[in-house]
Amino acid sequence: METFSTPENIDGCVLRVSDLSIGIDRPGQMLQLTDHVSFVLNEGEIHGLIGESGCGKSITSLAIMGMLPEPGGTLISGSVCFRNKDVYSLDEPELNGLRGAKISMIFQEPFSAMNPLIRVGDQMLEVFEYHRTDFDRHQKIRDLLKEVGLSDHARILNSYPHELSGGMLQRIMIAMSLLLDPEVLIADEPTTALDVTVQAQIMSLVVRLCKERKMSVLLISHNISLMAQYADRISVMYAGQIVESNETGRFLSHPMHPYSKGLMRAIPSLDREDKRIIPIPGQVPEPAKYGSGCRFRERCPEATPQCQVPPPEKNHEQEGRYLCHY
Amino acid sequence: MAIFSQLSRDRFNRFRKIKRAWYSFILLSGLFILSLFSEILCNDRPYILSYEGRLYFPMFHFYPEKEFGGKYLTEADYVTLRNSDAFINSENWMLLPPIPHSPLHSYMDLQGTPPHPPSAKHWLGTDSSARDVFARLLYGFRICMLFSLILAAISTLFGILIGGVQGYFGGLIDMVMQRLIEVWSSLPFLYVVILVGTIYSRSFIILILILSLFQWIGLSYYMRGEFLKIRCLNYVKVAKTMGMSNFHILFRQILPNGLTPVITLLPFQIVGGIGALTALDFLGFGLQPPTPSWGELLSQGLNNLFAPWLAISTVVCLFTTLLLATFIGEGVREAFDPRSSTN
Repeated sequence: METFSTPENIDGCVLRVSDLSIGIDRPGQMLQLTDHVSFVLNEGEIHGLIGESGCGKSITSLAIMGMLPEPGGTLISGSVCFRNKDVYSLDEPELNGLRGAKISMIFQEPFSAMNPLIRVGDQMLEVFEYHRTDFDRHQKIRDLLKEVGLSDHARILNSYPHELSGGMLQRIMIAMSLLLDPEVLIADEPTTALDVTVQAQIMSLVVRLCKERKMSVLLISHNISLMAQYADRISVMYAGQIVESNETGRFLSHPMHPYSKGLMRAIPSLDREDKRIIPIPGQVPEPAKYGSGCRFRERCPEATPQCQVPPPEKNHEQEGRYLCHY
Repeated sequence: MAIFSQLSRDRFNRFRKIKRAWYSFILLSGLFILSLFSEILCNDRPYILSYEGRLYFPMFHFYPEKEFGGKYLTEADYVTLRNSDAFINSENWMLLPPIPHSPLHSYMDLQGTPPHPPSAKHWLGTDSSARDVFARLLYGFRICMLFSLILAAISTLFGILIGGVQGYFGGLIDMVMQRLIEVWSSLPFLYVVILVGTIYSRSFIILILILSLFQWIGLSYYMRGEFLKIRCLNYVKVAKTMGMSNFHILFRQILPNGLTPVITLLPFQIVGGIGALTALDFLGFGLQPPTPSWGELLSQGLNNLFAPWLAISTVVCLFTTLLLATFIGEGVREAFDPRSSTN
């Protein structure tokens, strides 16, 4: 199978994922979940990862932190390099030192992401227990809560998670993920569980914090308009592969891969004459049925017999990188 | 830790607000603490005894019969003594505990044949060996409570440990342990009690050990399920991405959330312990006689149906204790439920 060559502009690159293939060891067969996923995250960049549910976005994001799916998750090939150090060469204590401190993560459902039996303040303090810090911890927590736009700190810190709203909890989660000043923030659909007005607030908050701190963000979502607004660069993931990757402006004006085009047509738009949205027919194939050819061919309007053959990777200045015969 | 005590204080306050449970708790623990001082409250030895101008403290000291005009060097029989001529209509006196009966003393000089019906002297009558029923109930209560509390503590510990390991690690460890537990739980418990009891005598400790070998099984199933469920929850994942250790995740994140079955099952463990000991005593496989025990009193009640005070008083005691324990358990469960928080 073709692989994406390691992309250029190595300077300023914080995180490099190259050829990452992850599988699940099932009795009698190895189920491959992601296939040679490669991308880089530059300093201060917001990198968007789009794709339907079940195409390997969350697995990739957890794998960046050295967490493989359980049970039976296996690293088949590839590496995740944080500051030129392979995450998978670290032992458990080193990994724990990396998690939270250098790379941290926000999850999609703030309600389930917090332990229901521990007060918010204590959960935030717990983060410090496994990392060495030289600042005033309580002051840091209060500063961050202020930064994410929360007041009435005493009440919030003394509350149990169920006593707060989803928007507040997500802000707290963001504050919590920033406690140790990480260099990389992985935001796995941070706004999916929230209503639209709060979504916009949370996203602009993440973007502002990222710019202020020169932090790199891997923004995972299936919401393309969110990406168009906030990401510097967009990668499209389909059935465990990155099928297209380009700078946001170019991607939006010239999507190359048929799947990306399909995604663009499926966005409701106000200024288009024909106001119907065109869905992509069919479903993402299951990992066991990926086969060897182009994985999108069953649903692709432009498919030809040639698509039975694995598609080549194309890399152009303007069109970016994409995985298609045409 | 400051955080923990704050949380515990909240739970305690919530528990106090549930009146039925709170009063049950006060009553049962009060009775239990009182029963720990049974020797002082309920004893046939006087606190102070004055004999021919000298003071004696029989409750705390050993005095031979000779001291009080007897023949032998064995301990004086204070029940006979207080009814003897030396103490009736004389200057000698004794200060007796409020319930002046020992659970082991047979009142063979009472009129009629034992069991004797309730009277002013023996509030609940005497049993078939003419021993005071009230004293035996009181001492029996203490043994029952101590037994079931220790049993519950041991079996809860084992249940959490084994179920937790199974649930958290899963896979082959879980499978092998589960099969072993199934084999273990199919051992006929009563035979084990009879066999081991015959070989090593039926002491308090042996009985607790045998019962705790079997009591943890039920709880371990629940704990396994809880750990299996919770380890897949998002906040455990978050804790991992924050770089927390396995140990921390197991005991600080998962265990407190998986405690609900422990807490809801705890009163039933205690109820079960009381029930098990009573049943064994009833069948004659329990504690060695003449240890005062409720099961033995029940079986006496069954053998002497014409003496209903035996069965009735024991059943009332048993029922009340079990009811109070259940009320407490109910309240504790409600107080620990974070969703029932009242702010």
